[in-house]
Amino acid sequence: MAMTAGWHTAWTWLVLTLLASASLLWLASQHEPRNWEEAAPLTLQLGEQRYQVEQERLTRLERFTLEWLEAGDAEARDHWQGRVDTELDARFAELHDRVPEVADWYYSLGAEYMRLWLRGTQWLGDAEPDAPARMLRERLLPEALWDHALRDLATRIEWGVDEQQRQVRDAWRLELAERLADARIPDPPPRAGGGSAAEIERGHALHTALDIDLERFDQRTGLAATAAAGTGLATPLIARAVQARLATRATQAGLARSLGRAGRAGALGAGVCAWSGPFSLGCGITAAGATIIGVDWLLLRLDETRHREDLEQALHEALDALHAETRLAWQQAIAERVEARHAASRASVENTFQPWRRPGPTSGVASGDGHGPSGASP
Amino acid sequence: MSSSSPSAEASPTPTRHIAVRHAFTLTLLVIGLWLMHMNLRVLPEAGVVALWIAVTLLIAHGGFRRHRIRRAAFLRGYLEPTSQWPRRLRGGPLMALRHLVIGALLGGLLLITLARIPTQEVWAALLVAGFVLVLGEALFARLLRGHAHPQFAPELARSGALRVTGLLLIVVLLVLALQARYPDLTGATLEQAVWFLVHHEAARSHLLEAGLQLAAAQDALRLWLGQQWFPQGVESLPALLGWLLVLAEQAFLALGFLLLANGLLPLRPTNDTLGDPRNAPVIE
Repeated sequence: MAMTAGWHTAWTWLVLTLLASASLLWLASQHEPRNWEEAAPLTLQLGEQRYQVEQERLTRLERFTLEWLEAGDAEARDHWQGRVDTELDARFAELHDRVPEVADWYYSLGAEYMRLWLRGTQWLGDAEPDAPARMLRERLLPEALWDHALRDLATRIEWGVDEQQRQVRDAWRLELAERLADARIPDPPPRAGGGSAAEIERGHALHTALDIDLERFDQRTGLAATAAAGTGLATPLIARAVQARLATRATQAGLARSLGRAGRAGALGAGVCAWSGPFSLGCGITAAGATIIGVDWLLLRLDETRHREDLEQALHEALDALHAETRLAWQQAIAERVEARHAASRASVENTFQPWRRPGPTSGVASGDGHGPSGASP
Repeated sequence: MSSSSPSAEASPTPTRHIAVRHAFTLTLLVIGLWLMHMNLRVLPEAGVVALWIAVTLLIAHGGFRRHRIRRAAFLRGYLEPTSQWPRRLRGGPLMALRHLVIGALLGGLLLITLARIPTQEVWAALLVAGFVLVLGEALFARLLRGHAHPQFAPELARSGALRVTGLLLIVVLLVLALQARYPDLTGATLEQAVWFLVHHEAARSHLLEAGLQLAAAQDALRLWLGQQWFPQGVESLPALLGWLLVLAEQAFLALGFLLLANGLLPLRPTNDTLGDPRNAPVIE
């Protein structure tokens, strides 16, 4: 009896042992050991160099980077805005100096007849309404001094802003490399592969974050576009200023008055040449022409003495308005350009430095047990 | 050894009991080790230290116990029982300290090795080794019955079983290690290899993390050397021997596990056969 009980006990132990063993083997095949990743250091790749940095330190570095970028980009913006101011001041001073010359042209006979011609075509209905203002603009803002100069300035400033921002980032990279010198780690073995893909991708993201290709920005906020917009702004501004100043001018009477003037001059010419007999027709035409031109010249001189000052004033005002508008547009364009790159860098830096904030394919904390499925089996 | 003797008739049941109970205990030990393997990296410092102390005490306890028996056999062989020296030399704090130091070293290595076990087959190997240990001990006890002194027979049986099981377990672990996959370190510098392996070791406990990283560093050194020497793997006998040398650290797992089992399992009691006339001392 005792023998049977003993056997039963032995069998019970045996079954328990086998059950426990089977459970262990099943569990061991199902579960992976738990890994400690919370405080695992991250790997950064800057250029060719890899660094292993604690997360706390990364947070500090992130703050440092953002402050560095903020200060550097603000400095770039202020510098180039100041530079644009200087350049525009010089450009507009030159344009202001042209005003007397433009006024001379305006009160020349050639310009007067050109205006008459334009008025005639306008009367016939196939001319642009702002043609006189456009002519004035072309005189005041010749292509070489305005369009080309603005385009050149835009190119120079675009290049300068990008270059300065690049320098800010290069300096940052050097500074960071210096600060991280003690955290440098060697590259992974070339053929080990394994869990380093995420790291490399993230490192690449950081690398490009601060070296974003410029094409993206050229498509977005080109300063050249701002320059072109400034050119387009000039004509209406001049037209408005000139109209406001010279609203009372008699030339508003237009073609009818000119024709009347021509008729009166013809009659005068006929009277003067009545003694000349057979040559009276030729003499009359010549006399009438001379009279017309003479009268026009006299009227122009009269007009000039009365309104030249107003015209010059109007042109100066138009230039001032254009200066202010152009300056504002350029300042904004530079600020936008700097800010666009700054924001992109900032977003990338935040994303790169604290990847655990945003789970994503490039943001996983790199981990692995070093025994990945790659490699040679001995 | 005759099955017809009264003592032999009474023994089978308790002996079988002991064997299966020991087998169950060892299964529980392996389960405990597996749980440690699963959670070691996330245990806090205090937990790791407590485990280390427990493992140290267990290994030291087993070693100390067997050492005292061996010492007693030695003293009985060389000294008069009436002398006071057998009592003085039976093993005290000094011997205990020695085993504590060995226990702490082996226990620490065992913990680190446990946290880094890469393949699941190791658990089956440990389980089977546990059964082999129990069976081997029973077999040795049976073989020694009537031959060895009953006071020393349990130690002898345990010692034999430990040696045989240890040898088998090391061979199995080496075979598993030879078949495992490792990072390909060919073409890398030693610095790269060390960093690559050390970089992946992390644990909540700084103590364990330092141990893991040290182990990973020497792992990297060995694997790197192995892959430099024998980049084609095992192709010839020298290469096999080289790789066995490289992977020799597997012995620490076997040693730690078996010494832990030794501390956990009480020595197998044997029936006192001294009364048996066959066991009467031979005096010529």
